[in-house]
Amino acid sequence: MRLSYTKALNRALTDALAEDPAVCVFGEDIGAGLAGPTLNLLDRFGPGRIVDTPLSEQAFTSMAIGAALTGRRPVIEFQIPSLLFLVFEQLVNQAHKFSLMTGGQAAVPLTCLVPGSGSRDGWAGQHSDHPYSLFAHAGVKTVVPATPTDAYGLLRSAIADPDPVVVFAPAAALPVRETVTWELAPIPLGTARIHRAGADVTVVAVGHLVHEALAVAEELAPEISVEVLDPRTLHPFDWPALAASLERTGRLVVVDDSNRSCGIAAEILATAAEEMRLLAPPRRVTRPDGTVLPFALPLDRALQPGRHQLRDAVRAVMK
Amino acid sequence: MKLRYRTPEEITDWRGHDPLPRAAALLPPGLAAQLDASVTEQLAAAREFALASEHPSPEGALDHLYADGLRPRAGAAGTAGTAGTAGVSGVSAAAGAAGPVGVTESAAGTGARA
Repeated sequence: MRLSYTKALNRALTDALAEDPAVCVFGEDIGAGLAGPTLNLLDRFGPGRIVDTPLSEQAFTSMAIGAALTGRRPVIEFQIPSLLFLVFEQLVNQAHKFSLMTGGQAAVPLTCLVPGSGSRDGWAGQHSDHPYSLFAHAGVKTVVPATPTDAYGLLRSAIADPDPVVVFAPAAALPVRETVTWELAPIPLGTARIHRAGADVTVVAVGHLVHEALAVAEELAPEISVEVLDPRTLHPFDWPALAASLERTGRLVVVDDSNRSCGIAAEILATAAEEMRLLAPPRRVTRPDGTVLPFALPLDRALQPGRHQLRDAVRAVMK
Repeated sequence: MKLRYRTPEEITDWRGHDPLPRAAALLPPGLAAQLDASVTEQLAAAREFALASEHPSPEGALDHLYADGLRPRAGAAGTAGTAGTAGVSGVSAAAGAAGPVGVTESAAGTGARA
């Protein structure tokens, strides 16, 4: 079976809805399946579970949190990543805190799905952010799948999880297709995946950048043996997998589509420096500090982490 | 993608509630038409200006990010010419200078997202 990333998200939602009557979906234009992941769900599961909402993110996010508190397993689809800024209060200050503040009496099994996070051509300053590091920083479970099967498996686990989880589906990963010869299955949150084994340098790549890292690893293969590690979940992070990889390589580069300051790459470098085996100072390739992506495509591209910078960084840690 | 949840009647009805014509009806006679003409002219001039301008350069991608000219650090330290930490403190000195260093380089790697 040839599986696209968006179809994988659609399959995950379909299977979760079919398996558990508590699962429901909220979002804008989800009845029409405008973004892809919710295609045909309304016909199959009806308007009682597939709830088309007006442009009212703060209202329907609060409604979904209420539904989660009272026994449902809601999924919210957000049309653009910046909408998460609008509901940061509800997600971080409410949903994330209820379990602790009620002494474990309340749980919020809510999934926020952002199909098309990061830059999309020409979507410019207010639609192109990639705020996964913000959620990891706040302590909200945060997932960034790179491949269709990971997208399926991680979304299934996010929906089954008893806590709020934000799932970022990077726009640049949506065109990825995969030939799948096995049965799709949930993938536990908090487990990294080694996409390519190597002996000299560990490249940790987040989301769509996994594919860039694999291309660079292939290109550099004659001179440098690169291991590509995809954390898949940014919080909780699979630190043992990183430590094991650095035991093999002792060198680290992180490529991350966050703004540089306080991005997940910073946390990965810091933890590696504090606790793990490093033979050379680690490096990261990110967006610049405080990036606002411009409308013009050459400018948009210039601010995103790319292969050229990654290549330079891998060579630099080998010196 | 066709969104079928709105009927043509509903769309037509709501066009009748468009706040612009409703507000225009409250203005002195002729003023709305005058404003429309003025805005149309401004838009045409802006289009002409944009088409006649050079394409923007990636070096200036983060120009005007801060009103005081603060230059952000680039996304990769240690690549050729990257000011690294210098970019952090170079608040006034760097104002108006070329964009975050290293930007041109990454622009060359535009294969970034095939």
